[in-house]
Amino acid sequence: MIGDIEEKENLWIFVELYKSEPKQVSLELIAKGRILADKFGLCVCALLIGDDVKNISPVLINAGADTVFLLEHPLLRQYRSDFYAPVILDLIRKGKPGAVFFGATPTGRDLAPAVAALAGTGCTAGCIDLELTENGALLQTVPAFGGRMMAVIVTPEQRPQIATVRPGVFQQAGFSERDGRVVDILPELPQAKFDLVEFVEESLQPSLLPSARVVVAGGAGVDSREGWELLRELTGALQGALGGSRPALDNGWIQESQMIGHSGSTIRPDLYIAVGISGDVLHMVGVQDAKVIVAVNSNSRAPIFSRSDYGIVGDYREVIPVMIDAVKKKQRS
Amino acid sequence: MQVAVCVKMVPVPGQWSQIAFRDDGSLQREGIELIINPVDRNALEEALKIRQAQGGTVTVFSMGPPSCLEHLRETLAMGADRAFLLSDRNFAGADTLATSKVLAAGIRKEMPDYDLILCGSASIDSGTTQVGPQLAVHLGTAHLTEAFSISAGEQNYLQVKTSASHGHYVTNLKTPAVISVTQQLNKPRIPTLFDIMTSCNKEIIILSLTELNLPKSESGLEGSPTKVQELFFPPAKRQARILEGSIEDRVEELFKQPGVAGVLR
Ligand SMILES: Cc1cc2nc3c(=O)[nH]c(=O)nc-3n(C[C@H](O)[C@H](O)[C@H](O)COP(=O)(O)OP(=O)(O)OC[C@H]3O[C@@H](n4cnc5c(N)ncnc54)[C@H](O)[C@@H]3O)c2cc1C
Ligand SMILES: Nc1ncnc2c1ncn2[C@@H]1O[C@H](COP(=O)(O)O)[C@@H](O)[C@H]1O
Repeated sequence: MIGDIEEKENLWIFVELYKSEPKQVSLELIAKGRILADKFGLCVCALLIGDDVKNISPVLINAGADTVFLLEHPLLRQYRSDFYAPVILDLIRKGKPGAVFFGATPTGRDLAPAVAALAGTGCTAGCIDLELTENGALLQTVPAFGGRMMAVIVTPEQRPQIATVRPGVFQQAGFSERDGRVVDILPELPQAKFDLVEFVEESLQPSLLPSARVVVAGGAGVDSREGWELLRELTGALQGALGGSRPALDNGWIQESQMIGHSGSTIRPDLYIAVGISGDVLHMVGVQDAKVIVAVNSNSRAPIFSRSDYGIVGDYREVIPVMIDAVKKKQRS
Repeated sequence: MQVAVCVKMVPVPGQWSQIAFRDDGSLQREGIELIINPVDRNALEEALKIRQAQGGTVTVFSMGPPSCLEHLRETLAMGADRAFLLSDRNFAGADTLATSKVLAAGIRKEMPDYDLILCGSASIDSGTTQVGPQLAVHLGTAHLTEAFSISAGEQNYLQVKTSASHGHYVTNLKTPAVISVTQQLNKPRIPTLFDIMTSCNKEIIILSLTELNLPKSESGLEGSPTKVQELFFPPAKRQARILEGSIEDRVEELFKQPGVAGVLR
């Protein structure tokens, strides 16, 4: 037992920090945890680990957490598996949660499987959906074979049920001034297994994709500078963000952070316009929650048309300029 | 340095569409060709480079059905000294925990003096990225993931750079360790005909459960805390409406649709 938290099969969320702020995916998971917990009268507990991070607690509570487990130590300032995994294991042994969720980020993917192996339980990687049943079983949906298939994974016997969840699949909630509490816990650090020399910041342009309402994306069919200029113009007119498929990245037209799909971003815009993209499942898995999908493709038999709401069969070099004009005209009127 | 490399055989992505359900709901994937999981070649390449620079041995471990054997030949042709195929009916249906336990048992038995274990960051069919970290837990060693640079120094010291969301970490460590690597790390060599021919007399040893000193209850489906409850094809939920007319007409029609028009404002 930790503090006076009752031993129920509570839902715990590991909070990943960047520059003293919780990552979006952690807030999304707290919000999802809240929805699941409310159905069965469970608590949502946020694991806040770091150095001098107490002031983040209210943000987590307002995002939907009932309790924040606060573990502060100067040596926990940066994420490192050799400290974080045993510290979380210790907490799990005391608090006996029903499930623990991590973001499927580089950190979460490094940490969650190690915690699961230490605890001798299962870990489901890269979930795109979570449901909880009455008996506390977590239904974890993951794409298999690059999204060609979906699998529902369960961990029938062991507890906790551990899952990493892709960023962007759940929506963050904004509660105002919720009540919650912070339980201070003194972490016991094990021996270091390596020497973390430094973290080298790389100032990548933060990706606009996840929050954009409109996303225009190009694929292998857009194969020239002029083509990408057209897409950029359309994106600008729609005040959206520009993305692309794997070949667009491979051919150097977009950056890593702009790639959409199985191995890239998962997005849920109101409108997704796919240009010169064939509609492979490994791409489409990243946009399956878009409200409306529009496809522009010169091949009427491209699979994208059956995976879109509206299709325009045609050469993008003819279609996109007309779209740009139409958008501009609409905006003037 | 004594380096072990974990190599997984995966179905060729081009043939994934042939994977279908049998009547009993299980997956029919016979006849689908296997390949070496692409990033595992980078792990092997790095091991070969370390051997070149420092001496030592490179040993490949793979858990999978007997059909993996011929692909393990390729790892020997690339330059691995020997390869172990961990293969047993009881290993079938393994999740990452059971897989990593079998790999750990194989390494403990055949290479207890290992210095470094290299894995790929993710397999393309399941892509869990979990086997490396879990293997390290079973063996009680350090683990790092997403490594894009490994420099091996004196006395088994390594400097490793690993990528993270907003930059990268630089870590120093002394072996033993398990490191999962990315495709950025190096460019895997392609074996020449000569390599292939000279590799013929290298050994591939098959190990089954009885040789591994691992209880049956910790391997395969039985040793897997996670179970697949259901497999399904994602449902089509889109209208799939093809617009007709001149390009101008089609674009105008498109911009009249409720979900589209609302966004334009
Ligand atoms: C493990 C793994 C992970 C992957 N992850 C991802 C991922 O995250 N994201 C991703 O996108 N892909 C991913 N892929 C690749 C994916 O399988 C497909 O190969 C890729 O999505 C295809 O991209 P595309 O549609 O741009 O190219 P193509 O399939 O080559 O399609 C190009 C399309 O452009 C059309 N076209 C050509 N000329 C024109 C024109 N003038 N006007 C209009 N249309 C035109 C063609 O008809 C065609 O349909 C992954 C693959 C693997 C194996
Ligand atoms: N059955 C296996 N046999 C050998 N190595 C494996 C096996 N499964 C996974 N691995 C290793 O673990 C890495 C990550 O795999 P995964 O956790 O499936 O994404 C792979 O790139 C391999 O190096």
